[in-house]
Amino acid sequence: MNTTNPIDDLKEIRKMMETSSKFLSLSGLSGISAGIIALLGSAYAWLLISNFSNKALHFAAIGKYDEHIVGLEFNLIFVALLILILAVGFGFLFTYLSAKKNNQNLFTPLSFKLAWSLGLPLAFGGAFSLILYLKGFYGIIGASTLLFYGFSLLNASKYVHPEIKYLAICQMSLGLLSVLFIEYSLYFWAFGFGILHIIYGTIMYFKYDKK
Amino acid sequence: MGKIDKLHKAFESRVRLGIMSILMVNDWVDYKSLKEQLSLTDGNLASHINGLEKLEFIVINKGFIGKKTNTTYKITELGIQEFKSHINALENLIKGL
Repeated sequence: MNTTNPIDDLKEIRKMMETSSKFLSLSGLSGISAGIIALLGSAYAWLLISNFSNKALHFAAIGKYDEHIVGLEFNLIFVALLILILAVGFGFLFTYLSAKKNNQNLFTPLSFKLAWSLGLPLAFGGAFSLILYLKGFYGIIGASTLLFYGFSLLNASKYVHPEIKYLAICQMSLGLLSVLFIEYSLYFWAFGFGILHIIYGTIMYFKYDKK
Repeated sequence: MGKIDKLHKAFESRVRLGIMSILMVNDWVDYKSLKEQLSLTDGNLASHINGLEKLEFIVINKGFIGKKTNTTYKITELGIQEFKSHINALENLIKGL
């Protein structure tokens, strides 16, 4: 095990520093799948909302407006939860497969640190969004999810590929825009969670997974 | 001798380099993680850890998680200094090639 080659020594040091401090198994495919799910989900939400808007007058005329708006809210929450579960589920699956391929253990102190630093701001974001919903501030829920998701990514960025910082900054910026142009909130949401995830995932896939 | 002087003898082994690299970028790393990261056997790792501790490059903390022992390691200020100067020496050596 003794060595005299300084170049090999430095390479080894670099490799050890990287693999021990960063969770590199996060697959680009996780990002792509999350993006596709978010896009499909927001398209469905858009359909539900426009369908409701078209019939709103009719519902009001027959005196069933309140009943239907509760139904719409319920459906939207259901879609949001479904997106969350599917996105996390597929994200986990692809990361698991990637870790297996690289012979890396998925449950290390490092991955717990990553989960913690990602999960804590995300949990507060989730709670905040829920409070917004309960208090009736529906318009800025999308913005709050984008912002808090950006914070979470930024907080977790020290444990994964550094490029995730750019994704975080984009999500936070979209969060601001979606309050500024609140009538297009759903589009910003779809762009952030859908398109950006797909772009980011694709770049990461070709940069790291393919190797 | 010249440039070779600055290379610390303690870091001649790849295993020690590995241990120090990992501890440079992580706070308190446990034994099992070190072992897996470096793909080593128990005896091999332990002897190198003892060596590094004697030099006061790392500190050892013996704790418990439930009833299982959980030993963790951390790099010392001295360790950081020595490791950095070792890396600088390696880099200078390459530049001189």
